[in-house]
Parts: sequence; structure tokens; C-alpha cells
Amino acid sequence: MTLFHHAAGDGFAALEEIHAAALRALPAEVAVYLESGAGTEQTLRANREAFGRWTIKPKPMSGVSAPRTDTELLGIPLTAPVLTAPFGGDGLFAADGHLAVARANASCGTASIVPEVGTFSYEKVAAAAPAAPRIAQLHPYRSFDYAAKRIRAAGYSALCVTVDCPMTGFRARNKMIRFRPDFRIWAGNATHDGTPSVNQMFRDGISEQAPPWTWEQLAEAAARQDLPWIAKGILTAEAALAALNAGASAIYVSNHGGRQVDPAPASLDALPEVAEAVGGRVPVLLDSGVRTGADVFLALALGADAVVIGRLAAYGLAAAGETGVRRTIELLTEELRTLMILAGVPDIASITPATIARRA
Amino acid sequence: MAMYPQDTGFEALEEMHAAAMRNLSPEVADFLETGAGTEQTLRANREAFGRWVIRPRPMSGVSAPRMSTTLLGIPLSVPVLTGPFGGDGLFGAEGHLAVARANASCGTVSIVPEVGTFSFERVRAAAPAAARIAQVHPFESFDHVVRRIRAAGYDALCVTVDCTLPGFRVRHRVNRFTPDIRLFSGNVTGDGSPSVADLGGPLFSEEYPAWDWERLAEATARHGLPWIAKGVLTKEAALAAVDAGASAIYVSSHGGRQVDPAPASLDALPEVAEAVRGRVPVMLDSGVRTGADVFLALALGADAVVIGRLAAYGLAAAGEAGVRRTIELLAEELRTLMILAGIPAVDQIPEGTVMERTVMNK
Repeated sequence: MTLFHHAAGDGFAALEEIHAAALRALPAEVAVYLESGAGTEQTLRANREAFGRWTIKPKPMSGVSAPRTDTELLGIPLTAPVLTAPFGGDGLFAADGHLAVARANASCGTASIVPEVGTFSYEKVAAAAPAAPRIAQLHPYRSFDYAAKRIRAAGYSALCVTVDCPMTGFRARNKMIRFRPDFRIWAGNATHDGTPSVNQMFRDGISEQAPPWTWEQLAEAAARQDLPWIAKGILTAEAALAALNAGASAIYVSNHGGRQVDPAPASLDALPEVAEAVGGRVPVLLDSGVRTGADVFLALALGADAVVIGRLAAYGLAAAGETGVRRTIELLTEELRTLMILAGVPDIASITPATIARRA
Repeated sequence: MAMYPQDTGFEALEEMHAAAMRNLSPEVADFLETGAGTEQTLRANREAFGRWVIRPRPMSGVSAPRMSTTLLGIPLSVPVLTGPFGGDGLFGAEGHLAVARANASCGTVSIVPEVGTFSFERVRAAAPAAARIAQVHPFESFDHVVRRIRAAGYDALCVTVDCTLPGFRVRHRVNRFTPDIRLFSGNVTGDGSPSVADLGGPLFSEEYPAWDWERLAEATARHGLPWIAKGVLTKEAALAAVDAGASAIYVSSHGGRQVDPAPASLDALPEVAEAVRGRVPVMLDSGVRTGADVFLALALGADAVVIGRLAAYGLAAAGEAGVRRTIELLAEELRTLMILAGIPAVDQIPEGTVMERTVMNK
């Protein structure tokens, strides 16, 4: 090995290069669709700024040389505490979308959360890489039972229920580019056989006739499926407790990458409040604003058990397909591992609040 | 046609603003955009909104939030009114006639200016459903003007209390912009009645001193119309206005065009709302640019917001259609946020729905 390590193959030395390659590869309107947020993008910016308020406390001479980055979530083993998010429209970023994401996760030993409004069906993604697609996302809508039954039959081990998106946020920048992509890119799970589809919800909108669900409805519906479920889109202690009360097996702190409520709390800002409310009863996940291995470290220190990457995975996909996603996870893990050594942290469980401090 | 559509094709308020800036001459654009002094108030009005976050309430089951409300008995489809900005003919030939028609088609309401391009009577005739509130200055001409307002069928007065003289607007002075005074003279009758639009300067002289709250209380009492006190930024002023008989308190820093530095409107709102304690409705303008801003103002104690520059942008961008689209876009964003935050009705935003970002990240 040389002094400066360069990976073979795709050659990306840093996540910044993957981002740059993604933006070069994508048509301008797809790049805006991916990069933009809701409203005036205060939430989008705040997600990044929140990470900047924390420092890792170095611990020289700790003797840690081979930290363990592996962990598990809802019984699913992970080589690093990283999952890929259920971003829809994945075919916009690369032709094989979440098939490639799942294959990359399989080769990294991480897991995909497979989207309901993706380009490929739950079944196709499961078939592409059975080891990785262990969690399937769905919306709390009248299509729920039907989707959950298919998810179960396809062999997934958990559901991820998106609770923050009964309708698309007011995405001003996206509206302004007048991007009208082919709707089929989101319709991998629409069967067109008359069964209710979540695509209907986004096409026709919710209304008094087709209302979004309450926690009570979700609790009943989830109980019928007998699969553990993750509540995705929690930003407050109140919502976390409501989700636990409804039977959630994990709480997923997220503001949807700044694409729903603007201004909303930054995910990382909401994490301590949520983690405190959860009190270790169930695992806590986080997305929105994670761009580096240092961000993974900080999120874990502030109470997350694993982080989820949405845009980062899409960048990898756009930059170099499966290889790009794999390299993204490798680079995150490599930086996390470096920081664990420098901070004297031997394993994931040891990344506690004591390992970080607020920047003065 | 330009790159941007001229009618309902505007997808976001930013596009409306950009189209307005393209359509207006530089000196009119500057007249519209500028504030007093070094424009600290102007900037602070925007920055204040950036300090708050909405704490979303997922899975609330809210799918069709009620956005309608009433203000002084006047129904509003959304809690948005247009402000009584004068010189409206600078921004679109039809000025407040177009604004009122847009409001009428949206189910919202105009506050019709005293120093506008068109008379109270003409605006009222253009859209009686929307021209419900008329603005007036506390000046010698008050009784004369209010009699006309009443005769024209308006439901309420909006008394501008923060503008005994125009603020020290440096950018105006530097530009030496002297608009055609006729664009401000729609209510000058030429029958010898005193008119505020004749002045263009202080609303007082040795002969006619500036009014105090007592004088305003007496004058308004003579007319028996509910009146809104526009331009309140402190609890002291709010209490004085309520004591003087105001039927509503209108928090405003005049879009940053009067006192600089003054408190940002949104910063002043909680203090004013607390002093008023629900006795009368509270309105707010200055700095509202998005539906999220409307949400925040309502959550912090306003019963309705008023748009001044936003309405002028719509007018300059596409006349009546531009103002209509502005109100539609505000309503669409507000509706989205109400659903995502689980708010069933605009007048039912629970305590704790918004929080300062710095509290959230402690």
C-alpha cells in the first residue's frame, strides 16, 4: 500500500468527487429535482449546518487500532451502521436504480430500504440481491395492506412506514424547473390491476374522501401484518412517543431531506430530543444532511443507532451505478473507522455523547 | 412572450418577483423594494421569519384543513389581505382595481389605500365583494374621508398610525425619484376638502398638529365603523390603540419604510399578541413572502396577514392574474404545511407548533 491509498476500479477518492461526477452525469433538471428542498430550503440548509455545530473529542494514544464498525438493526446484521434510503424515482439517476443500490449494499454488507414509489417492484429488487433488501418502505394509505402483503411474500424482514409524506411538500425550486418526468419511473409497484396504489395518492392528492391515516389506523394495520415496522419522518418527542404507542419497532428521525416541511427542525437538531423520548426502548435511525463519515459518527454519538443515506446513495448511483454506491458506503465506512481510531472508540456502541462536544 | 408565462403559469412566488423586477423601470423597482435608513428593519423583517421552525405533527389525519376565517365579520377564504399601498398605478395601470378584482375571485379582501391611484368609490365599484376595508390617515381630512368611505359601503377603517410623515428613505432620496403625484391622488376630490394626498410630506403643521390617541378615539367614535390600528410594534402602542377603541391591531413596520432600526414585525408580534390577549384580532405585515411565513405569523399570534410588496409584485408581473396567482400560491403552501403539521383550521394552531431554531438545537 502506498502512503496515500487509492482504491482500484472506480477511482473515487472522496465523496465530493462522487457528488461532482453525479452532477456532471445528470441532466440539469434531474439534478435540481435531486438537490432541491421545500419552500425556501431553510430545512435543507439547516440539516447541513447542524452537523457543523459539533466536534469529535480526539483521544490520542488510546491503543484502538481495529475498531469494529459492525452492528445490527432489527436483527439485520450490518457491517457498518449505514442503510440506503427509500428514495423513489431511482431510474432517474441510473437505469438500474435500486437494483444497483441493493447489489452495492449486498457487496458491502449493508441494507437497502426499498421504496414503494421506486422504478422497480419490491419483488424485483429482492430478486436482484436477496441479502441486502431486507426492509421495504410503504405509505400509510389505503394501499397499505396490499403493499405489506406483497412485501412479506417477497421475503422482507421489516417495514419502513413513511409518516411525513401524506402529500408532497411545497417544493418551489422543483416547481420552477417545470420538470415533468415520465411517471412510470415512480410506478414500479403499481400493478395497474385495480388494486389501490400509493401512486394514486400522489397523483390525485389526499382529500376528505381519501384521507391520510392517523396513528390509530396505522397501529391497527401494522398489527395485522406481524412485521416489525420503522416510523420514518419523526422530528419531535411527541411524534416519537405517538409512533412507539402505535407499536413502532424503530424510530427514524428525518425531515425527508428538507423536502417536506420548510422550515422544519434539522434532523440532527431533533435527534437528542427524540432519542431521549425513546429512551433506548427501540433503535433510532437518522437521515437528512449526512454527507460524510464524520456525520455518521456525530449522529451515532447523539443517539442514532444507524444512519440512512438518501442523496449520497443517489449521487453514487448517478456517478457510477452499483460501483458508485458501493464506493460511497466504503468511503463513509473508511472515514468512520479513521475517526473511531483517532477518538479511541473500539466499537459502534461506544460512540456515545461523551465522544463529542459542542463547538464553542 | 418572455421566458415566464404572464398568467397563472407562475409556479412559485420567486418567479412572480423576478417578473415584476423585469417589468418595472429601475426607479419604480427601487421605490418598491427600498426601506428607510440603512434598511436594517427591511432586512430584519425577513430574518425574523428564519428564526422559527414548525414542529411537524405526522399522522394527524388532517386532509382538508379549513383555511377560511373571518376578520371583523368579513369572511376570508384564507387569512390573507392585501395592504393599502399607495401609488399603485406605478406597478400596473389598473392598480388597486386589479388587486380588488383578484381578491374578489380569491375570496380575500383589499385594504384600499387613501393615497392610491383610484378613489375609494372606484375600487369599491370594481369589486364590491373584496373592497371592504378602507385605509385613512389620522389627519385634518379624517371626517371628510371617512364619510366618503362609509357612503361607498366599506365595512371597516384601517387607520395608519405609524406615518405622520414618511420615513427617512435614503434610497428614494438618492434616486431623486419623483413619481407623478396623480398616481397617489385618486382620493383628491378637488372640491376644496383637505386631502392627505396633497401633502407628500408631514401630516402635520403648526396649523394642524399631529394627532394623538385621544383625538383619534374621538374622531373614530363619531363614525361608528370598526377600525384597525395599523402600524403597531409594541405592547404599549397596542394597549393605547385598544384603549382608543380599535377593533383590531395591525402589527407592521410599514415594510421597513418608516422607523429604521425598528423591531421586525414578526419579532414584535408575540409581545403585541400577549398584550391584546385575544380581545381584538391581530394582523401582521412586513416581511411576508411565502406561505410558510403566513403559517409562522398565524402560529405566533396573528389572525390574518397582509401582503404589501407581494401584492405589488403580482400586480407588476401580471396585473389582476398576477395578484390572484400570488394569493393562490400562498394558500397552496399554507395548505401543504397545515396538512404536514396536522393543523385542522387556521384559527386552531396549538401552542408549541412553532419553536425557535436555536431552542431546538440547544
